[in-house]
Amino acid sequence: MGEDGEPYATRGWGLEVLSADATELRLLLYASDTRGRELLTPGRPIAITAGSVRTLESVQMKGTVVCVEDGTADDRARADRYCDAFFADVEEMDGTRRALLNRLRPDNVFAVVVRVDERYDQTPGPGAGTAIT
Amino acid sequence: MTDLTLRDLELCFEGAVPAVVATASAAGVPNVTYLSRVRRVDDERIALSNQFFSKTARNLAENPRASVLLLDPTTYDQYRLTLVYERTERRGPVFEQLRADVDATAAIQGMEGVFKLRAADVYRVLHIDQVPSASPKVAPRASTRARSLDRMAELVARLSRCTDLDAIVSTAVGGLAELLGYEHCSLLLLDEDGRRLYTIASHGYPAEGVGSEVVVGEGVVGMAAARATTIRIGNLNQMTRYGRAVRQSFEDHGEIAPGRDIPVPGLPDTGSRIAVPGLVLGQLVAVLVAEDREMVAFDDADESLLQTIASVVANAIEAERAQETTEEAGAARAPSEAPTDSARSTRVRFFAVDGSTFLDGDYLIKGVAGRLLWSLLRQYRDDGRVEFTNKEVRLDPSLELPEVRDNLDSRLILLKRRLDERDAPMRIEKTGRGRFRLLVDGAVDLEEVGS
Repeated sequence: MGEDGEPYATRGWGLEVLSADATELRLLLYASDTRGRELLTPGRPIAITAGSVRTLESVQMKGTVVCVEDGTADDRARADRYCDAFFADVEEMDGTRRALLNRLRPDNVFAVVVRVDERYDQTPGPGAGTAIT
Repeated sequence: MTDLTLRDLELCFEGAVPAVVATASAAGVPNVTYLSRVRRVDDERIALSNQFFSKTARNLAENPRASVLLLDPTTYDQYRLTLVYERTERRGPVFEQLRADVDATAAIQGMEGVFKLRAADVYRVLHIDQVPSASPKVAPRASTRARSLDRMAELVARLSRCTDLDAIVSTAVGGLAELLGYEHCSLLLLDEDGRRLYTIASHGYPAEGVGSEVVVGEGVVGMAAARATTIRIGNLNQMTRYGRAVRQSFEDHGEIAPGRDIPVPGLPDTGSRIAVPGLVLGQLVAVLVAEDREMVAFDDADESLLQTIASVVANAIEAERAQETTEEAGAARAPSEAPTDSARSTRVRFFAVDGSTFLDGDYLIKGVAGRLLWSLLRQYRDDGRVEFTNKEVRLDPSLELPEVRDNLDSRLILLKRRLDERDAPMRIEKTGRGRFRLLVDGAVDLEEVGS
């Protein structure tokens, strides 16, 4: 979200659950996304939607930014594993060539720690937007 | 906007890769969700399909700004569009285009009655930014199709030289493959009462599928027929999964009961499908279908080309039918080589209720074509007849042909092709205009069920 109320969409490249109650997450974003990083200041609202390539079951998490950090070697390894698994699913389900998918693979990432307050079912259909309690 | 224009992003609007839209409430709480379809309205505007956007719609009422991510499915170039909401449309060309997209998704999972476009939300595009990629561009796969006017003209010329329906349908699907590179295609004709389409010929499939049926209005092909408009799908796998997810959600909410899956005929791993209606004097005659394993395999040029061929084929079929019903039977040609295996015996089982016919326990065909075969075989068994004319067959009340527009010749060709496809011990051979011969290999044991 920009200060003027302008939303900003970007893609995440890995998600790590930090707390046992899944209210704190570490989201990885492409390091070249400088505008996105500028917007992610502590306390800013953020929404993350994650879905299954195979079933399109999706969940949206809403909360606030806790902090932003440079990516670590672990983050980069996690992003690579995420890409490998994601691309394998897309390749299998849609037949998309890996060479094309690799155009999305980030060469570096930064991390944003997020506190999650709300969760919603975002699976396509009439139930999309239903709160998950 | 940057130097990029919406026209540069044309392939992003094929719906092959789901788009992402982010909005925000007046309080600044964002909402991010996937989109089934995005369409270009003009050089400055796009429209987003609105089926379930309750939160997005509420946000737009408070804060008209939005951000959308799009992917070009052929290059995986990624774009971010900054938008401002302008209006919602519930009728008109933009709405109709998006509705056709959504209906095609619904048709894949048999949800035509419940999964519908509510509105088309139109946005003005303020900025287009290309998202940087760490990897170099990948060359798109070269198309194997040759869409030249010369080749199209050659196919039209071949169709013009066809003298009967069998030749027309064979030339159509064979020529599309040989001359224009559509390796997987089929041709379906509308039945007598306009409720179903039946496959009369195909090319590039493990089984020709002659006689397989599609209900008008159901599935992608049935919808193209019902609307008499071309339907093009660039990512059948993606749409099938999307439709399945939506269907599951409807079932979870008790809005539809679990039912049969609508089978999608054709390749098991189809990426793209295009269904093109062929009309004559404003009336549907046939639907031409082409498939490809690649995503976004068909574009506007394919659509124009296949529409032209579908129109030529439909007109040729109607011209042949008109000639067939008005002409007297011509002179018979000499018999072809007779079947030789006289020791062979085939059990033919016929169900009067729907004309279903089985050869040695294997399903062959039903409906008019099934009743036609049964009538011919009975005459062969009882009187030894093998020579027939269309005119006398047309008067046979057991066929239950409609009085107007009986399409007998189409059914005869359907039966002939089905027998050939199954390598059946009986076949039909045209012996002249309005004449044909039944060739039976060995003995037949006829059993009628439910007469």
